[in-house]
Amino acid sequence: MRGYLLRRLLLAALTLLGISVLVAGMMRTLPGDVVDVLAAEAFYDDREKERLREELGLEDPFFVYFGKWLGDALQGDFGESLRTQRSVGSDLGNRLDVTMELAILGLIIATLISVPLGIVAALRRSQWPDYVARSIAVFALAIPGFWLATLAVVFGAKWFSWSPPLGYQSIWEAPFTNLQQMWLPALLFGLILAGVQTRILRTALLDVLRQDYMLTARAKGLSQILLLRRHAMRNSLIPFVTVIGVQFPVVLGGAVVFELIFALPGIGAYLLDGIANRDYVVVQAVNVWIAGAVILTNLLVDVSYGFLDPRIRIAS
Amino acid sequence: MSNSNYWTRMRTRRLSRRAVLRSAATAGVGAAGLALVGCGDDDDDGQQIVAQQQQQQDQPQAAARQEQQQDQAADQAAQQAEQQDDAAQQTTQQQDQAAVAQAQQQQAGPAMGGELRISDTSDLASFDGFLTFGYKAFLHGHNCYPMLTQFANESGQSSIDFQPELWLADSVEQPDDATYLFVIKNNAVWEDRAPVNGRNVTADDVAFSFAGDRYAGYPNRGAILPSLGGVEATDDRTVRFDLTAPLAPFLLYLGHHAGPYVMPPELLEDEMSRQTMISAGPFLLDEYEAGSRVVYKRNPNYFDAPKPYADSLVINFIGDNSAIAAAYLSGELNTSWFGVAPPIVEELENGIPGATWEFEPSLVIGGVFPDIGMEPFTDPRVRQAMSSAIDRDSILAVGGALETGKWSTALPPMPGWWVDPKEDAALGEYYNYDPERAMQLLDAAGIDGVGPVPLHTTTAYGPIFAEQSQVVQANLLQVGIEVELVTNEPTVHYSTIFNGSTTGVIGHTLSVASIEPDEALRNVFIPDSPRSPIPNGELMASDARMTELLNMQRTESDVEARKKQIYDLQLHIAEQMYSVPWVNPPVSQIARPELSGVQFIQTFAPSPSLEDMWFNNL
Repeated sequence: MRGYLLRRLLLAALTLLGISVLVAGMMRTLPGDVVDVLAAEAFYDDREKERLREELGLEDPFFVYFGKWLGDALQGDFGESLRTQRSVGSDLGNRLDVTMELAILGLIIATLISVPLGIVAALRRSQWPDYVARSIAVFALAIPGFWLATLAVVFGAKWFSWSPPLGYQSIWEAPFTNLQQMWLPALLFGLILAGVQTRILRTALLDVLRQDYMLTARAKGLSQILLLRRHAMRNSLIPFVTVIGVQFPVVLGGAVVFELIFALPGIGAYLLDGIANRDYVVVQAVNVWIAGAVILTNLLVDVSYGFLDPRIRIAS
Repeated sequence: MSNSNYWTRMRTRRLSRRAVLRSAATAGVGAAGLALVGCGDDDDDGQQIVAQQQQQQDQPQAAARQEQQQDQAADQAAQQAEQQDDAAQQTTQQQDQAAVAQAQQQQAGPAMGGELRISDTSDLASFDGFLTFGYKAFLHGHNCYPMLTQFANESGQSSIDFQPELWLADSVEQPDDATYLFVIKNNAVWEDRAPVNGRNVTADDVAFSFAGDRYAGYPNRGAILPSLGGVEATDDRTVRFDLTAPLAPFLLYLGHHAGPYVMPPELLEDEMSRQTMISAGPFLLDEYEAGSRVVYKRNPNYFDAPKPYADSLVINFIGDNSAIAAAYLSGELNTSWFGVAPPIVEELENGIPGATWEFEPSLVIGGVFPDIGMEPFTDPRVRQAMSSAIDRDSILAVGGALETGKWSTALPPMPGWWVDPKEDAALGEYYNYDPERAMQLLDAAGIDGVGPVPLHTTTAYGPIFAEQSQVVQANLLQVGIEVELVTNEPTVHYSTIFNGSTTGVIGHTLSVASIEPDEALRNVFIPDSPRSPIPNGELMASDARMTELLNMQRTESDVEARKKQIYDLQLHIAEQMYSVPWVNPPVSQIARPELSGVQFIQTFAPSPSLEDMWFNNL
């Protein structure tokens, strides 16, 4: 197991390096740079722009610039935003709280919706509860998140004169206000994510329920609940957990829509601002973080298989 | 071989219970989806769509019931009309009640307290406008840093009528045309924290803001610096400005929303001013949450006490129009500071009875800017032909602002200075939609078709602007000027077309908002202006008449004589048509009914209007 983990971690580091080079290189190919953005605001002339480019290190060759950034990043210093001169690490940390909270709440709500729906759909296959559960799943899959969020915000205000309080408050500092702000985006986000989860869980459960050992267990007189808990659910969890693992990067990326519509200062909005302002330092840091989170999540999912199914652990 | 195919099998197949249930479930979801899709302004839309579908399915029976349905529909229509009348009466009553309550409050005088909430679209780069110039820096800077003058904010005054009034200055003397002596208020103090620790605001602070490299490198220096001979503090409270020549809008420029603001020199050590502000203004910076909001609290030691009336001011960053609309409707936002986006104006008008509104044309200069060094646009007749080919009313109609928008000349519609081309025959000749004149001008210039020439537009100003570019394209094509639209994303646009640095193209852009004719004209038509969107604008240096008029109006202290000079400038620039100006749609301002003392200023730095507002439901 240790060897496996070391191999995966080494691969993860190489992947992160590759992604960093790719992102930094691609940002350089975009027309315009951060100095153009600043110059447009300040009406700098060409001489002032050149001075600023030198000051910000943008005149350095790509690999010199990237090498400096990488050296600092390896020491945990993601540098300062080219535009705001604020610490990217600090800004990223603050914004990460928001996105992680939204992602985790969304995934929890999705699981709370999808597990009962998936079970009911599988146990009552081709009966009305199955049709209802599948309709909800299809509805959740078919509705674009931005549209649902926009409807919820606008009609919430129109019909109930209510919209989530503005100005994000941390859950640690003002839990009540935080929940007032987060429940609606998390619920909608969860609903969107629940569509895939429900369908995968239903299919996985149906596969397991058809197995001979399930027939044997039933013949032994095991109750439906025990059958489900001890045999069916456990054996269906691998594809379900895989989906949650696959959804995590989608959640991080998809959160930007909810962040914009609900005015939440998360990393999605931070990344968009960074791209618009050609703030290479911000874009690189956010991308590396997202890539790291995706790689780590996949690693955790792979490791969790061993715990969910001892056969995999023994085989490995 | 069987003759049956898939479709014949489908027709003859017996429907299973499962198939029926599956179809019902699918139809149910579909109907629910349609109902949701139909949830527009009218609450009944979704039901109507579903009802229409049902009617189509039951067509034979429907024919038999048609008469009965018509009767029912007539009854429903009558009921709806009654309900609408009732709703209208209720709305009117609510508006009346709100107006009465507001009037009572205004008579009672301002009430202290409450949290005033406005929004901006995104975070700011820094708190120091000297370092990161831009409207966001002014929006925040004006809450804390005073200036000698500010824009007056009298009741009934138009939001685009900019008049100077003393702010940090207690008095001003003018010994001669080019000298000003300001005495600053003796109760103006910086807030009580390091490194200033509540010391007085001094004349040295004012002089410092106008002196040295800091001001010389300040992008708004163009307003005053060319006329500034020297600034010095003659004692603790008196500051003397020596101008090299009279400057007609000097007092207004001292209160310009783009500064420069008076800041304590101590704050500039280690560029602390980038991250924080030390206030002598109406509000104190209380909290900054990157990407989310900035919170201010009332400055109890503000020199214009008891203002501001609100206890705190919160500026939220919200980028999405739906979220902004929802926040106004629910009361999370109280008032706008630089307009409400056009797509949500109607929704807010209907949704917030009793709100205070103002619609005034924007003062942003905009238009089509051909490269004046590129053939055939070197010929003023070709540029005039472009102007005559453009149907400005169609452009306003695209933005839904035909009734309220105005046409630009070389000036945006500044009260007192701008002359409406629709009412002035001499100017109208250059701006009226007249394709025949355009073709005659092209014939006279010996031009038989132009282009294709790239016309650069942008997504920076929203989808309506891009649609308006298409109208321009179609208009020009009508007279034989073929342009190819090139759409740039904001960053590219701001670094190329916005400042006229790309040659060989026609730029389509908005420029900066101005408060004074001198500022508007000099920004665009001074040959070396870094703010001019005219490609190869330095070629305007050969226009001695324009340079003379630009300089004359700046120094003319007699208002009527200056008006005449500015009219002559508008006419001269129309003849030369260095830029092809277009239209100014209205800026829509809203304040919710809970606010009194509402008086808008169309400015990047709304502090004078915000400090005057108070809540009438405390």
